[in-house]
Amino acid sequence: MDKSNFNKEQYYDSVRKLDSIFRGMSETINENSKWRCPYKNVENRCTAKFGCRNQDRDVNKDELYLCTGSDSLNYRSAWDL
Amino acid sequence: MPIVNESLEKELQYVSDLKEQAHIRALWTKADPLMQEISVSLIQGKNEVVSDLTEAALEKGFSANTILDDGLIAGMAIVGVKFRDNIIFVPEVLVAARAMKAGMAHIEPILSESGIEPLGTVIMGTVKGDLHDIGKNLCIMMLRGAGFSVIDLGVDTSPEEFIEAIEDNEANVVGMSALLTTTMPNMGKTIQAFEEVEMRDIVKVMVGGAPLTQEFADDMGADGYGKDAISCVDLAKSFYS
Repeated sequence: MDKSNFNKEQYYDSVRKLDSIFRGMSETINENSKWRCPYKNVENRCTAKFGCRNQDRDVNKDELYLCTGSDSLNYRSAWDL
Repeated sequence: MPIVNESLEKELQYVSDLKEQAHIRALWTKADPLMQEISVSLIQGKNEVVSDLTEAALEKGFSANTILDDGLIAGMAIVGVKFRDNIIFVPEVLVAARAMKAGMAHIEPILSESGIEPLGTVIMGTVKGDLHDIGKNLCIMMLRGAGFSVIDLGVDTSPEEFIEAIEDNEANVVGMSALLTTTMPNMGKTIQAFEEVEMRDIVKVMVGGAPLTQEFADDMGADGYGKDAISCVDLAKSFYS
C-alpha cells in the first residue's frame, strides 16, 4: 500500500466535488419531501423505525412493510409514535 | 479504456440527459475496471463490497485520491443524478452513503497520516421520545462529505447520552433533531442539562426538524437553527471557523 502518492490539493478538490453533489441532493430532498414520504423507498416499502397508518404490515417475515400512502396527500399526519 | 463493467453501463442508461451521459462516460472510460466496480457497488449500496474493494485497491497501489475520485465520488455522482430524476429516493441515497462511509473508513487513516484532520467533531442525535431519523441521517451524510467527523447517537437520545458523547469525543458541536411538536421541548431540556453540568460554554448547539423555527430555536437557547441539511453543514462550519 503506497500512501506517499497522496495529493492534498486533489483531496480538497474531491471534497468540494462531493459537497456540490450533496448540495444538489439537498435541493431535491426539499422538493421531494413536499409530495413523497422520505421513508418510502423505491419499491414503495417503508423504512421507518416507527409506526405509521400507511404501513401495510401483511408482509413476509424480514420484509419491510408496504407503504399504502398516496403521494398526493400529506403523509406526516399518518405518522404514529 | 472502455466501460467494462456491465452493471455500470446499465447505470449510465439512467442518465437521461445525453450530454451529461457522455460527460460521465468519458470520465469512466479513463477509470480502471476496479474503480468502475467500486462505483457500481456504491450505487447499489453494497457497503461490504465497497469496503473490500477499497481495501484491495489500496493494497494494489491505487492512490487514495484515485479511489476517492474515480471510485467513490464517481459512484455518488450517479446516485445524485438518479435521485434528481426520481429514479431512486431518500432511503436508497442513504444506503449509498453508508457504502461510501465503508470505503472512506480505509481512506481516512491515509488522510490522517497526510496531516488532514477532520474539520471538527459533531455529535448528532434525535431527541428523547422521537424516532424520526431521516433528516438527521441526511445531515450526517452531508457533514461527513464536508469533512467532519460525526458521532451518530441515533434516535430517542437522552440528555445524558448527549453529555457522555460530548465528553468521550471532546466535541464542540451538537446537532439535535426533532420531528414531533411533542418532542421539540426535549431539545430545550437537553440544553438545560448541558448547563447543569457546566458544559454549555464548551458546546455550540444546532437544532433542526420540520416543525422547528428560528424563533423556537432562539427561545430554547440554541446557537443555531438549520432549516435543511445544507444549513446544518454551514452552521457546523461557522461554529468551527
